[in-house]
Amino acid sequence: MPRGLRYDQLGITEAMVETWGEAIWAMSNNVQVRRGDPIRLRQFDRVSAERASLGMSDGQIAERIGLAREQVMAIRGLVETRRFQRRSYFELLALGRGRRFNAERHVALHERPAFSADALALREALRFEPARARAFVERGEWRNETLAGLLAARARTTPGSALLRDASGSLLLADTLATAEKVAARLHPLGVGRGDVVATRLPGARAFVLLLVAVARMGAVLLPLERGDDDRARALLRIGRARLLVDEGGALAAMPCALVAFDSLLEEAPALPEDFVAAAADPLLLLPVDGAEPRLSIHTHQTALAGARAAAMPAGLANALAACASGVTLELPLQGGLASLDAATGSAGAPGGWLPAPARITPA
Amino acid sequence: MTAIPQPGSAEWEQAAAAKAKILDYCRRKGALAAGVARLEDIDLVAPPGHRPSDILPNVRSVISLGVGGQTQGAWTVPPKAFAYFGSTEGRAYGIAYGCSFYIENAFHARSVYCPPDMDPEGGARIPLQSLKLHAELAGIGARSLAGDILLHPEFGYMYYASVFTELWLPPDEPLAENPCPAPSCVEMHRKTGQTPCMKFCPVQCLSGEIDEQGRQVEMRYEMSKCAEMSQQYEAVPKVLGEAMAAGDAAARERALADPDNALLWYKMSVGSGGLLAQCFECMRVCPLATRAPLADPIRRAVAAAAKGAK
Repeated sequence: MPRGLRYDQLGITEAMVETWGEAIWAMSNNVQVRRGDPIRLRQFDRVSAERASLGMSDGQIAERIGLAREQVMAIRGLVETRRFQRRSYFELLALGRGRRFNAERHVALHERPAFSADALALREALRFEPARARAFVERGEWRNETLAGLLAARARTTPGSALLRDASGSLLLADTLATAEKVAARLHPLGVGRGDVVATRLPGARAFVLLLVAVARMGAVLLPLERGDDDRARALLRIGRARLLVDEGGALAAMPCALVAFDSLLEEAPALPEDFVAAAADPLLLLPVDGAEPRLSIHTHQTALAGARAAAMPAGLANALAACASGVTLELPLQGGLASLDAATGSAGAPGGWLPAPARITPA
Repeated sequence: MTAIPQPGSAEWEQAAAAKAKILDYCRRKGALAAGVARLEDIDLVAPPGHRPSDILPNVRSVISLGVGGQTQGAWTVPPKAFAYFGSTEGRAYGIAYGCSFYIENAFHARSVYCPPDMDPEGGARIPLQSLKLHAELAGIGARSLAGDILLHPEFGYMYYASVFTELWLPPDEPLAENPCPAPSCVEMHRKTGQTPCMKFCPVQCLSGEIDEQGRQVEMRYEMSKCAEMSQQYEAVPKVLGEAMAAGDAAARERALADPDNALLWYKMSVGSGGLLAQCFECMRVCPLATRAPLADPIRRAVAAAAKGAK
């Protein structure tokens, strides 16, 4: 309503906005081009000649294009409002403390990755009783610790220590992190984002641990499946809305998700975007629950690490988590098969109370 | 209209003496620079409706003054803090307001403080008057490649205010030289095609060309993009629109009360300066704004001490 007049009093229509909006925008102060330094040099003829590029008033635009001044005011105001992007301002909040805008590295806020619908559904299923969640935090059983964060912290102090030893030698902390970073970087272009589920039926402990750390590093969720019962595996993949199955050997028939071999995840890939980080309360594991009906329980980094301490999960997995979290080395006999994780020495993990009942995903 | 006094005449000398007193008043009150713009020149550039006589019908002189920007330390704080206190224009307005009273009291000529605000007819982006134009023609700043922000060779980046008066005062000339681009910016532009202000603008709203002599050839500025960073009051109707268009209660709650949006209500309720001119990223990297000889209190104090020692 320029000057208190309604659009119907001014004769403004959407067709007029469409016809004149761009021209008015270009002639207004919204876009300014100044050639030379004509005002300081008092070159007023030049100012007049280049008025449209310097930016014109509504009255001047009206005179140039043949609309009434109030019509220009109204159309300019509408276009300005419609084009105004609120999100630009928030870019400022990322700057400071030595960090300046860098066009080459910059990813606009609205272009940053979002959680997929499947990932959001998983998070929606993750429900804890508020009082119990608070109590677990207050008792120190749930900590601000992620699996990859704990490993990285240990690697900073003792990069040469081994995470596991098997027949093929030692897997050092620093190498674990480097390889996991590579695997995570490969998973991303395969469609795995933060919160997405990666299933696996890997037979080898070493590859399993590397995949676990990679998935944890990128904020994704691991669903370990046992071999043998393909129908059950298919059902769990569906319930868990797995995006990918990392497997070796023969593929599962009629799979509800894509299949990838672990070795292919060791190939070079562009670095993971910096947004890919996990919070301690983010989901980390989907674990099949015993019973006739296929069901999955969700563990966050917090509950998984507490579970490892409390030995409240499958022994092999608890041992792997404990090794990552607490510095013990997994001593694997034979060829380091997955089953050997169950019997890995040094799996300690001090008892620390029971987990809250894990959230469950049930078939729709 | 009363005739303009001839240089050398008694009237001219009288006006020159009045001008000296007025500018001295401005400096005593804290202005770093002050001058008088030629009214006829303003009228040749400012469009009808935005000329000094559109505010004060019998205006004869336009006095422009500039105050310093923030402290040297302020350039080191993150944008989210700088947004709240980076602008110092309030000091300039206070001096201009006082100056209009001083002129009426001392010289019995009608005077007004020029409102620095938006034209109520023009929406959120059209000011009543261009304080920048007044200051440039008064010789206390020159247009930079950073969206025509005025820069001064000694004081760097200033905030400006204007006073209109019916008292005739001899006008000043615009600056003889434009300090922008600084030599280091010319060198960077030759290598990369951008000056620091262009490179580090978070919305990339600046571009331009520099000639072989290191002078500005063309300044391109997308003010609309800059407004998205620096005119947060324009976000308010957007937020309200999102809330009204929300499909459910949860979406409406987010539109009104998520942290990004809820802060708008805080800024409005306390009248925070953080609602406008929040982005200083072009000036943060400007060698003139941050390192001109008298750009900040530390530099001015050191210069004053050195002058005293001589």
